Amino acid sequence: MEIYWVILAPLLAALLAPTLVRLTGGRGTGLLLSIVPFGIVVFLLRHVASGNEVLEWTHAWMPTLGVDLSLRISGYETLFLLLVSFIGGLIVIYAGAYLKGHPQLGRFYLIILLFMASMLGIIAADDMLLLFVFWELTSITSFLLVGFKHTDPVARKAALQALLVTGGGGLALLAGLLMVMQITGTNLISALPQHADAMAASPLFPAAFILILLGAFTKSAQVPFHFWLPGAMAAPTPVSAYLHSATMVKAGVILLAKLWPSMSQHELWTPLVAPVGAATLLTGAVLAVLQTDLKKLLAYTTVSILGALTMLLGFGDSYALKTALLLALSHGLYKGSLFMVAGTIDHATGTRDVRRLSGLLKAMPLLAVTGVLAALSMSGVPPTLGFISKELLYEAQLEQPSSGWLWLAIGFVASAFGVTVALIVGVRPFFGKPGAAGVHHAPGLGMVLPPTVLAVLGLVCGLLPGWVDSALIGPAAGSLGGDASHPYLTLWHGFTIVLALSALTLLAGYLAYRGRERLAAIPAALSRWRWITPTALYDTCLDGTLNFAARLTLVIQNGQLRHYVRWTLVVSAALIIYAAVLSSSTFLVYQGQPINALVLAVVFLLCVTAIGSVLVNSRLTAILCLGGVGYAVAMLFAAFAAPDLAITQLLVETLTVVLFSFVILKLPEIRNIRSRRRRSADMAIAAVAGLAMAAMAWQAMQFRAADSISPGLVERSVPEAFGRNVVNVILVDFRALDTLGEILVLALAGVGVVAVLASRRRGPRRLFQAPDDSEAPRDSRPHPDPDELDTGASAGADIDPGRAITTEARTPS
Amino acid sequence: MEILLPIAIGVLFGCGCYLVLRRNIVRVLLGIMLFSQGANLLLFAGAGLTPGAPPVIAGTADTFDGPYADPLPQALVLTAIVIGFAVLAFAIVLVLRAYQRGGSEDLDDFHHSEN
Repeated sequence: MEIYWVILAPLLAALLAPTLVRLTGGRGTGLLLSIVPFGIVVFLLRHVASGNEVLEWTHAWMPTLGVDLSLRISGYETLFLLLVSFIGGLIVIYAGAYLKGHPQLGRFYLIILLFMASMLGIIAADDMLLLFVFWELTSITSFLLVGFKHTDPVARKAALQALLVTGGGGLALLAGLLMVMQITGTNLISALPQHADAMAASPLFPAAFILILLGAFTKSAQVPFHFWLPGAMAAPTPVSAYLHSATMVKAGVILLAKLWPSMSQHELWTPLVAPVGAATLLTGAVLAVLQTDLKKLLAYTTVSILGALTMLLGFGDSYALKTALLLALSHGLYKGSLFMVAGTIDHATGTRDVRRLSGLLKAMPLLAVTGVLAALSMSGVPPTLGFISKELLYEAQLEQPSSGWLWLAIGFVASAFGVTVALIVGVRPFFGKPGAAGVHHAPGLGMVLPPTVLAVLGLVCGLLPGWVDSALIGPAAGSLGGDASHPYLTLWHGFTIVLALSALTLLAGYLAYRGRERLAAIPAALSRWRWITPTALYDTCLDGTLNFAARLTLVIQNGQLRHYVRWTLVVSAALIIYAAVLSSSTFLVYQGQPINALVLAVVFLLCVTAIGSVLVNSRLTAILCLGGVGYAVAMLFAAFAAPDLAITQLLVETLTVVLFSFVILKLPEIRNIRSRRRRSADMAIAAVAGLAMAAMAWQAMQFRAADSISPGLVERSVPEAFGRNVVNVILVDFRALDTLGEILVLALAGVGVVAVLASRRRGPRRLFQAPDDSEAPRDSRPHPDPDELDTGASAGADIDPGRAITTEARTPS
Repeated sequence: MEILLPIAIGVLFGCGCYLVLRRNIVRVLLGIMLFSQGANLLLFAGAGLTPGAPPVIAGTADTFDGPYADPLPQALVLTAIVIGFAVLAFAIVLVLRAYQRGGSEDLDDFHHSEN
């Protein structure tokens, strides 16, 4: 099997999903669709069993730009592909039960499978631009999933927030990746380590690196971009469990790990990455214990763990790398499980408020076991996988060459709060007296088994650390250039300081749990500082942008057409003048013939009549002026060797004058509506625009960008088309189709003229008979009687000077 | 002599601009007409000028001996004149109908009648 099926299969499943839901009515669709991700899991496990070699696939996409569809699956990619597809399969089943009977289940499956395909794409992509495409796809699908309950304004706001933050980061990422491609000359991530020296030497690299980090940090909700993740909890719980804990939010970390081999030894790596991670680790944990909503509690601890992963990768040593990989695995297992447990509780009781939940053990025993198991892993109690990852985390922090104790202190506080949250979410709802919220209906197996599978897997992996090490984590670390065999994963590291710390963490976490009521009072005390939070800053920026846009629109697009025309004229005139000034070296070079008196007279006539048509108030004088302009142009054509143009212009001008004379008598005399001040301003604009056009014409007369194709046409004129008037030959022979189109336009315009004129007779009648016509009340014609007006209108032929006079009479002048 | 054409073009466009910015719909119509004259002249002049040498091949020859006016822009301008006339004819009738239905030649009144 070619590896592109890893991405293509969920993509195809996504497209089929809506039809499938329609056919089955939603029953069992989840189970059926989960075949795809589980199939990928089987494929990957067999690949692991058969030696875990590197798989590559490339297909030319945009060969001229050197962009290929390159996929690469090594040990590292295998680990994350397994995690994403396995949890994905469980989520698809879980969602089937969670959204049972939802009218838009098909749409949900479509988007979440699309997301799965793009997430698998991010992991497997080796080409940086391909990675970016998948990256943006996850942002878009996340937007659609967070806003899935689109009738809820909170969900819509959260969706937009997630999109703006991650999408904005995505743009920074693109810029950064492009710069790296420019520096190294390759767009394959796997080829980057060979260019580490070029990157270290390049003055561009710091900027590129910071841009890439912006992309990774926004996606992985690092401080100060962490605020969108708790907001995204407005999504249905299966989405929160999948996107916002196990997979998408790890994309930033996944990217950092992909770049680890090539960039982690750069001098900027550790100072820029590790502190941000540590800050996020602490912030997430502190904010988490202040929450009362099950999902918010989990969301903030997710932020905290994402910080831990970033920090570990930021340390840049092989020990921390392997720890990060293990932590990603164990976190995916227990957090995915806990999210689903929270969703099931919400579904069964109708609340996620931890203060109202207790004593659910009897109603949901299996779920209680799952919750406790996942909570144990989250707290780091042996023999779960979470215990091993926490031990390694402490060890990695202690091993840091500088300020190891500071890192350790942050890790300790965060882990202790993690224990508190684990107790609140995974344990407390099930024990004690039955709380305020009762169980409406017991959850089905589809909503209990998926989290149980994950929680049990966390325990099994903890019991088999050797297998996890040799099959998954070791090869993953090895493929990133780390040490595959160090640290060796085991449950028992002996009586060390780290073991004592683990015990202390549990104790501290439990104590914080006991005192959580006092902790819950803190947010109220801090509320007056709310404006300084990133959420408030985001809101200010967003509102400011929208207000600015609204004001700008009001200024440049106020709904009056001439206002738009004015702006267009001013801007184009400015651009033309700018261009003319730029090319001023060729200005006024043209050496022509002496001025001919006849041409001078014609141009003079043209100017006088054109200006006259601006100034006059009489309709008839205006027509005469326009006719003068037209005939002057015809004479200019004649003077400059264009007899055909002159003839056509004469005919057309005559027709125009005739047509205009028919019509203009029915129009009122021309009057000035605008104020004198406004007119002078427009006159200035018009003068500048005229100057610009004159300058452009002058430049155009001297400028030749390319050779004319006319000689070729002239050569073929007599032998091929048997015509001596080359202009005519071009029109009826070389460009005959154009001329056909031109005739069509003429015919259409003729039909339009006739149609508009023909509708005239019935026009006023309809106007008065329609009771809801908005124009009727405004009309102050002197003939309010419809019948009278009807006869008047039908009697009126195309020319009706009498009516023209009556309309003029009531026009205020 | 060639300097005269840019002057003519500038005057046509300048007057056209001013008229197009009016509130009176009749004036806007006049402006559009001046614009199309100016555009035709600009296209014609932009190709370069060869006075006294029309692009018509003499009776016996197969091609031109000396310089000749470029026939291609002339063909383009010819098309533009005719199409411009078609558009203008339609515009004139449309303005007439709009005035008769709306009862005003003030474009701002048109704007309000849309709401």
